[in-house]
Amino acid sequence: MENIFKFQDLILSAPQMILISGALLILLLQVILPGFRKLLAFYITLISLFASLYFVTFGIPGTAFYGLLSGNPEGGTAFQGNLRLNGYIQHYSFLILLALTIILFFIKRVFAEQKLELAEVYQFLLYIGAGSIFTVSANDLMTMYIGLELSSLPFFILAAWDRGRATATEAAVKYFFLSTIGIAFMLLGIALVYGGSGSTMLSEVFPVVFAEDSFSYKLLAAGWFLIIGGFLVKIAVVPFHGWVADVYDGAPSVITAAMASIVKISAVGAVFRILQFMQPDMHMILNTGIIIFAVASMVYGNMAPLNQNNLKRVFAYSSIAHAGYIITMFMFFPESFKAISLRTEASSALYFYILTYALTTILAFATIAYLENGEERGLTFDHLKGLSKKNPFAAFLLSVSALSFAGIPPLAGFFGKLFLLKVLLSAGYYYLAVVMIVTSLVGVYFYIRIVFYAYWDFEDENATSGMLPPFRGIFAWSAAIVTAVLVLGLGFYSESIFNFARVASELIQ
Amino acid sequence: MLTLSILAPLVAAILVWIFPSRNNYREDSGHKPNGWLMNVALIGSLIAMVASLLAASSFNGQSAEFQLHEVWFPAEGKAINWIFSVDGISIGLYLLTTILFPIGIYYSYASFLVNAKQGISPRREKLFWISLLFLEASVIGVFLAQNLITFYVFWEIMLVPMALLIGIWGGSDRKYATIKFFIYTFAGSVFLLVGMIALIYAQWSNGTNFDIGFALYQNAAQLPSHIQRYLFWAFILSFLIKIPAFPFHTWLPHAHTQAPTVGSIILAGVLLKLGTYGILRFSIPLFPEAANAYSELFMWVGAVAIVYGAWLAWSQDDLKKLIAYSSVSHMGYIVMGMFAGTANAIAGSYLQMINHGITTGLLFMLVGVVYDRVHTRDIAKFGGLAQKSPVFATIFLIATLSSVGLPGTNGFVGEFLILLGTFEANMLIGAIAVTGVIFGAVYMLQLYKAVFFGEPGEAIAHAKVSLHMNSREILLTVPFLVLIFWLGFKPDLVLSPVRASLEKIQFREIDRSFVAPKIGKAVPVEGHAEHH
Repeated sequence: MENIFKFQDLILSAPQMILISGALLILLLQVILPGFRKLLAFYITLISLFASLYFVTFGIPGTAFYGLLSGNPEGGTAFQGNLRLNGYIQHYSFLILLALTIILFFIKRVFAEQKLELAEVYQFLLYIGAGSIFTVSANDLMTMYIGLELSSLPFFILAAWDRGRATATEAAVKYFFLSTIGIAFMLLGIALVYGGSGSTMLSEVFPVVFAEDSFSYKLLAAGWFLIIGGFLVKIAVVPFHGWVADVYDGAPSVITAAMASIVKISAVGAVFRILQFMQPDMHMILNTGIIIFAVASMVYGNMAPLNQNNLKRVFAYSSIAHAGYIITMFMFFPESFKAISLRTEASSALYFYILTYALTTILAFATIAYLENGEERGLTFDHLKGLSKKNPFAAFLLSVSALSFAGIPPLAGFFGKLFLLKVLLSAGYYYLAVVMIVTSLVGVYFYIRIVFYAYWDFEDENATSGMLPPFRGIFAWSAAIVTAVLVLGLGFYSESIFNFARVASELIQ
Repeated sequence: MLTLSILAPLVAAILVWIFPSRNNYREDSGHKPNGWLMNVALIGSLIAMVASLLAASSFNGQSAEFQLHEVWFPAEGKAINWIFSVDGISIGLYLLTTILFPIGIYYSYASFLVNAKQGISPRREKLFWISLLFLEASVIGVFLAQNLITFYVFWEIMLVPMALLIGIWGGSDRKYATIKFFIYTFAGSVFLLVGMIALIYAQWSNGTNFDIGFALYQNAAQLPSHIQRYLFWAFILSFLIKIPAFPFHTWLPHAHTQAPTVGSIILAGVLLKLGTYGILRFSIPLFPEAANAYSELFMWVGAVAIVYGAWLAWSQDDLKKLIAYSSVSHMGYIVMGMFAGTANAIAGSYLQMINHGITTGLLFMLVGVVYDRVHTRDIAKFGGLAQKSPVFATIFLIATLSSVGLPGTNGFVGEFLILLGTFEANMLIGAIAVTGVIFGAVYMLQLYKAVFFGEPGEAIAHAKVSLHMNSREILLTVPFLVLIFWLGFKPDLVLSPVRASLEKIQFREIDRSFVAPKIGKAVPVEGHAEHH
């Protein structure tokens, strides 16, 4: 029998393996070292993440594992074709790891302050990272499912990390049920795809072409739509959005930051990859759905926060709107000439958007996490009054993220929207572009309200003075500064990143 | 030099930010204004001014091309580059901006000092200077950007410091005014964004080049005329809101009355010009066919603004509101002149853009001077100010006459050229617009009479401090006064360097059935440029 375990496979899945080893090491050390410190767990996590980031960026010299910067990797497959490695996947892995590293820095400080810091948190973060990369890089639907579960389960636990609060438990339960139902439907979809094509391997599903009225074709179509639907629950677009506000609001804010960024990055990366394995004529039906979902999300996500007073809910609803913008990039897979030539454009526009969106979201929720203190955790607009005097740095960070979300140039969010608009207009989706612009204009109102509340003078601004601690901690400071600088400065290099991602996007498979 | 004039205010803003100084949040704290902070800000803006003057000295007025290219960031792609350059259309407004800002900054300090004497401390000085410096950098960036996207970046970012200026240091109703200002102008800019992206897409076959200088002007003219018209509307709506032209003018009076004095100076002096600059830079040259087709409509828009704005100004009882509505009226002249499209009218419009910046800037500053002393702007409470403060009355009179358009002041040349050009294009609209001159004289002179003559009003009689202008304030008016008379007698100072650029924009041939009078060298009566 052929040796099914090859060392080559471990090299090609190096980032995931490093993260999982780090997590297992923490688990092991907790058992065998009696005086195990949280700090040690933190550093193990940090080193694992940095090592993964390094390998994803520069590759492992002398092996088939190419990095982002070491040329244009055509990559390869590992574990009998279950995992895929190429430039596109490396881009998303990089993004996941970057987001996770920034969140790690925030979690260290915030959880220490809220007395929630336990070694397990770091272990879960590593599982999330590994699972997300597995999701993006899976070449088999079952592997993708396992990756998704691996990254979801820690989130259910982390959402309830602040056990004392009823809302946290509520958030965890809601997230667990809705997310699981989504995944269950996805599993059903995988079964149907298997029934239709006889394989769960993506590259084997695709070449099988059926007549449009055959039973297999119908099975396949139903299967794919269920799979996409499962992912849309993760991306949180209308009508799969029911859980978003309560879960984002209830979970600890740093965990919300991770939820809103990492889950979406991996889901978007995975969906964009698997879309190309669908039968070409199914895309026409799917596109109709996507347009409806996108428009609904944009409208709902920008209208719902208008009368919200809770800051986390404002950002939660607005994340639905951004999900709506994001999924418009899923429409370039039908086999018309225009769509094909625009696919790489759409891919890199999507990549840049999700990059800016993730950084901005992390910045927003992490700053909110910092401002929360004491028993009452809900941060409202009233708490923002006078923020620029009591805590200028936090006011600045919150304003940067709000302005970037609103799409004020030269912040990164503007260039993200610009690329999306460019692709939509060149594809001839004028009405979608108009809906996007008009709804985001509505959204400017509540984003700019955050800036104004933070900087204006109010007569009753001292009423809430006890709530806002100063920004503390070297890790949180550095993470905040790095993220803010990225959000401020990425716009100036937007085109380089766009072109850089385009090179990789030509090899999505 | 161009880059320096953008970077100097930004660097100064950072220096102000890290300057060791305690922030003061309360008006009654007895805190003195910090001169060091102001000095840093002033030096930053003065460097920008010197840089702009040096750049202007090497500007070639004979050429209509973009000049003095400077690459800020290394070009990283074709679509979005950070190249700055000037041509005739931008150089005058660029200089106006760099000259107005140091004056505004020093005036604010003078105003802080006057207020501090009365026990009103300046609040949040650092943020104040930072906002002003950011505003300066972004306004300069708008005029210098040679790339559509860069242009839009500066165009948008400018709203934030301006909104902060109004929202934090403004009057009692500042929150409403800020929201209105922001939402209104942001909605306008979104139209611009749509138009820009649609324009890029429409000329997609020529590559994704956003450069204003090369690709756009050549390619846009080849677009089919119905597309030109759609794009024209997207652009012009944004500019009309910014100007603000007649149906969109309602945000301006609120923003002006609530803004701090320096905010009003900058808003009237520079920010309103961005709209008309956009028309000159984009609307007319990019879509000449559409501009020609709609020229009559927009001449009407301008003419209505002239008369309607003047009527509204006539009935105001608030000093600042009156001048704000007079701005609506004056901007109406500029819009009308631009769409009249003859050489005279466009030259007049350009000159009037500069003039309005100078004159209205001075008027708002003078209103600020008197407001700092009596803390009211209600015209009914004034009266007899000429006896109390003759120097102030004299300077205000000069500003008033310049605003009215007395021959010998700058206002006359601009208005005359515009009206002349409008008559060349359309007699009826010209005739209606001329009535605006009369109304203008009526409301301004009535204002002057009400404030300076007659029995001393309530506010004047009970003023707690000396109503005399102090030496700082007198010094600050000097540049304005010099420019008012200099441009009044020698408009060529502005017009000769920009003539070549403006000729490219002119889209209506002069009707030769009557002979247009010659006004110096400013009016090229022959259709082509007179290079000497």
